[in-house]
This record gives sequence, structure tokens and C-alpha cells, in this order.
Amino acid sequence: MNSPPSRGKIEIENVSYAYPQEVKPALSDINFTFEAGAFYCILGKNGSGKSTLLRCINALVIPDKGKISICEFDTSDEKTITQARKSVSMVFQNPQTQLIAPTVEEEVAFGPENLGLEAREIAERVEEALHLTGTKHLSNRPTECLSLGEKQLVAMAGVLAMRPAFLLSDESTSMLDSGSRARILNLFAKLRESRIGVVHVTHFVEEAIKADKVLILEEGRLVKSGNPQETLGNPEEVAKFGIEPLPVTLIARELQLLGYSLGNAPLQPDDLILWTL
Amino acid sequence: MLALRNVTYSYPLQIQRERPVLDDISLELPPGKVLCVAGNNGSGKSTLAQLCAGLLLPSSGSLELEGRRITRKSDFLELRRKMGILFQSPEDQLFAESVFKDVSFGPKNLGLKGDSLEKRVRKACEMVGLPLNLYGGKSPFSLSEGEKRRVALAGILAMEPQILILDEPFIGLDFEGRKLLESALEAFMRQGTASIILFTHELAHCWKLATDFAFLSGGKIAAFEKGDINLLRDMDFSSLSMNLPQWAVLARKLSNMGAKINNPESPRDLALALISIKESSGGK
Ligand SMILES: Nc1ncnc2c1ncn2[C@@H]1O[C@H](COP(=O)(O)OP(=O)(O)OP(=O)(O)O)[C@@H](O)[C@H]1O
Ligand SMILES: Nc1ncnc2c1ncn2[C@@H]1O[C@H](COP(=O)(O)OP(=O)(O)O)[C@@H](O)[C@H]1O
Ligand SMILES: [Mg+2]
Ligand SMILES: [Mg+2]
Repeated sequence: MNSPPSRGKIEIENVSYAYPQEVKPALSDINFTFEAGAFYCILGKNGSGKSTLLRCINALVIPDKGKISICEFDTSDEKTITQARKSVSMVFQNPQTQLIAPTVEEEVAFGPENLGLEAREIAERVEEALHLTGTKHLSNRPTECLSLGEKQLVAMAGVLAMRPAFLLSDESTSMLDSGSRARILNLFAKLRESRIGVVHVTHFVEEAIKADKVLILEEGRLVKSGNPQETLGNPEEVAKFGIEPLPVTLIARELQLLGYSLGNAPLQPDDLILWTL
Repeated sequence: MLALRNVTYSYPLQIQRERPVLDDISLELPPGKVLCVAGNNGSGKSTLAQLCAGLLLPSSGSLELEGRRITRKSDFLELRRKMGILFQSPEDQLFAESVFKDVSFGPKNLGLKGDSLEKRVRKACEMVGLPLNLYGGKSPFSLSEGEKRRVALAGILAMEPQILILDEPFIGLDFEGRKLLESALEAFMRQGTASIILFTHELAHCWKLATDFAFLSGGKIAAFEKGDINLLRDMDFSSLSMNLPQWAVLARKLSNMGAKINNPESPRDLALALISIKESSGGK
């Protein structure tokens, strides 16, 4: 996949936001920088503010306080909001709300067409996006006649075809079967090569093992961030944030209690198998 | 008991496609069963869910309740009374302006009023972890997606159905929400006469609850009892579009390496198995 034009960061400074008529803020004083071409995973309980944070990055929601800039474009400035929006592209949590074109092929072409690209380039991108998401066999199907998992994949294809600087994914793997889930996760990791940043929200903690950095939200606050070892390695802490600890970290804890030391926090089954050798 | 007899289904718009989505499927759901159905995206799970609930009509074959074919309007009404269905997308079943009104819609239709209605709604909301004092007055549409799913579930549990059809009920729920749902479903099954069909891709979410598994592929279904399979030995859930949790992956590897494991879900048992392998291979 060719590199998208602008390779910048997403900078979030002191961001707070409350929905109209709500007293409790959905986001409180968030500070973070998403670097170009890296893969981020956001974890947190229901209602912790994950979708709201993505809406802020996508400039659908403008923070009450603080500032977000995307590839140097400020989302709260009317002069730059369109540019900011163009640099990110989001797969929404509910795929029903995302698809608008009559057929899958037209749906995936919709974004690139809006970018004003040439027909040949559009066709190329559509072909590539269908291939990457494993949805080629659906290309002529009406979008309304798809299963929900298929809709999720098509929504992902549409976003890929835009080749944004950052791909935002709000629980976009939630309904995928094991084959499709593995394909999308590998794709997220591979997008590093095209310098496309990925910000992926999920309840499947295992998906976060492949991330460069993991962010944990709790009641609208960013309570922890770091590499997967730092953020997921301690099962008691993870559970305290309302997140399911990785089974491997629970097993490692048992080994410690039984008097064995493991060195670097294991996160995957193979880490434990290697330890026995 | 709910049963499907030789059910075939094609969608009206399904013109150019060669085979029906569901092809001559027969299935029985006796009381006490929790049937977990997996299948690839597009294999026909949601279609099957809607057929079981009488929301789609088979192209051929029939649906039976307590041994009677469901054909007349009164049969469908009886089916609706006995059955709750949770759709894969919770928006499809939320409509009222407040959580309280949404959850009370069903029981109200069953004739409940006043205190008994309020009690029923309160209980259902608590079961899904949405206490009425915090959530009762909120609009379901202002909630986060996981919260919406819980409201939809509460609305179903408040009807106290006999049969539950759940299409990916764990999606979008956080850790606590999944545990709450699991225990709510366990409580539901303790009624003895109840049964559940649960569609899911996650072995971790249904392993405890399941009494039977079924796999949908190429329009056909293959079902078997959980007791008939040995997770560690002969089960290849991954080729059947189920995601294996880490404990199952590890337990399979260790058992292939010769370890004995009592309970593959227990971190302690897996730790002991790891130690036995390490010591037998001579390293420490
Ligand atoms: N309204 C419709 N008209 C025509 N075809 C449809 C319609 N709805 C679904 N289909 C097709 O029927 C097949 C089965 O769809 P269904 O929604 O039952 O799948 P599923 O197993 O629930 O998938 P998922 O895991 O993605 O939810 C798919 O090929 C789908 O594209
Ligand atoms: N449109 C809305 N109006 C009012 N409150 C909302 C709206 N959307 C979300 N909320 C509330 O904001 C908080 C954060 O929601 P959200 O970002 O959707 O959480 P998450 O995605 O982490 O589950 C929750 O308390 C939720 O109920
Ligand atoms: Mg959300
Ligand atoms: Mg479905």
C-alpha cells in the first residue's frame, strides 16, 4: 500500500469533554501523542470513554477543554477541521450505521471518489482493500444484504481505501470469526510498513499483545499507557481497571507463587512453553 | 421443546446465488440444553436465530413448539410469549425514551402493572448491572454500545421467557458485563425447564454454559454434546471459526507434550503442568 500524503502525529493535550446535559465528564484531562505508523490499542470498561476519545480524534466531537491536533491540524479551528478530518478515517462500533452505498464495491469506492481520485486509482484501491479484508467474494452484493460480520469487514475495506494517516477502529473486530479476526489483526500490524497509524478499541485483550502501545481508560481518564508488557503484565492491576487479565499472566502469577521466576512478563502461550525448555 | 424440521431458507433478494443460506436443517432444543452455535461470518447464524424465533418463515420445512407445527397466528403468539430473542445489533430492539420504559415494555404487554411491574424491571436491570436509580431515567440512545446491549438484554429477561435465542450476546460487553451475563444465564438455566441457543465465536464465553456445540457451514449444521468431545485431544475449534482462549491453546500444547491437566481453565493446574514438563526435561 502506498504511503498517504501527510505523515504526522495526533497530539492530545489536556482534553476534557462532557456530553450536553450530562454532569459527569466522558473524558477528563487526557494527554497523549499518537505517533505516525504505530499500532495502538485502547482498553477500558463499558462507558470509560473509548468511543468518545475516537470521536474527538475524528473531529466529530470537539473537546470542551484542551486541544487536539491531527497532522498539525487543530480540530477546534474551523479553518483546519476539514483537513484534520481528512487525515483520519474511522470504522464505527456499529457497522449498520456506516454503510451507505448500494453495493459493496460502490461502498468501498465511495471514499476514494470523494477524494477526487482518478478512476484507475480508485479501481486499484478498491481491489486492494477488498483483497486485504478478504471480501472480494462480496463485491457485487447489496450492502443491506450482508451479515453483520461481513458489514464490519466491508466498513474496514472502505476505510482502508481512503489510505488515511490514521485508521481508527472502534471495536471493529467484535463480530469477526477467527479467520477474519486474525487477518485484520495482521493487517493492523502490517500497516506500520505503509506508515499508517492504527488506533484500535477492543474488549479482546489478546488483540492488544501485538500493539506498540496500549492505553487503558477508566471513567474518562487515561490511567495507564505503555508497551503490552508494562500495561498487561500485572493481572491484579489489569483486573482493577475492569479488564480481563490475560490467562497467561494468571498462570505466570501461579508459577511465581510456587517459587519460580520468569523474568520478562510472559503474555502469550509460547512464552510459557519456551520457559519450560 | 423447540424443533426445526428440514428447514431450508433463501433470502428473497438472493438471486444469483447457487445454494440457500440454510439447507435442510433439523434441530431439537429440549429443556435444560444450552446449544452454542459457531460458524464463519455469513454462514447463516443470524438467519437461523430469526427462523427459530418465527421472525423469518422457512422456504420449506417447519418450526415446532412442544411437538406442534407452528402455522397459525395463535401458535406464533405462543412462541413469542415463551421466547426471548436478543439481536446481534442492540439498536434493532431499543425504542423507548428511557431505560425504564424500554425494559418495562415487554412485561407490560404481559399484563403486569404497578409494583409487580416495577419489581420485575428492577430485577432484570440489576441482573445486567444497570441499577435503575442510575440508569432508569436515561435515554437508551445516549448510552455506550455495551450499555445498550445490556438494556436490550434486561428487556428480554424481564419477560421471563422459557427459551432464549441470543445472537452474539457477549459482544461489546466488558469483563464485568460478561461475567454478569454468564451468571444471569446460569440463573436462568436453573429453572430446569429453560433452554438457550447461543450464537458466538468465542469459546471462552460459552465454554462453561454450553451443554452442546453446533457448527454451521455450507448451509448445513453439525451438532454434538459437549461431553462427547475432549477439548485437549480432538477438538480443533479454530478450523470451525471459534476463537480459542489462551488457556485452551496452552492446555492443548501441554497435553501434546505429555502433561496431565485436570481442569484446563485453572491457572494453577496449568502452572503445575508447566512445572512438570520443565522438570522432566531437566531444566530449572
Ligand atoms: N436481507 C438479506 N438478503 C439477502 N441475503 C442476506 C440478507 N441478510 C443476510 N444475507 C446473507 O445470508 C448469509 C447469512 O447471513 P447471516 O446474517 O445469517 O450470517 P451470520 O452467520 O449471522 O454472520 P455473522 O457472523 O457475520 O453475523 C450471508 O451470506 C449474508 O450475506
Ligand atoms: N450521545 C451521548 N449522549 C450522552 N452521553 C453519552 C453519549 N454517548 C456516550 N455517552 C456517555 O459517555 C460515557 C462514555 O461513553 P463511550 O465513550 O461511548 O464509552 P465506551 O466507548 O468506552 O464504552 C458513558 O457514560 C456514556 O453513557
Ligand atoms: Mg464504545
Ligand atoms: Mg450474524
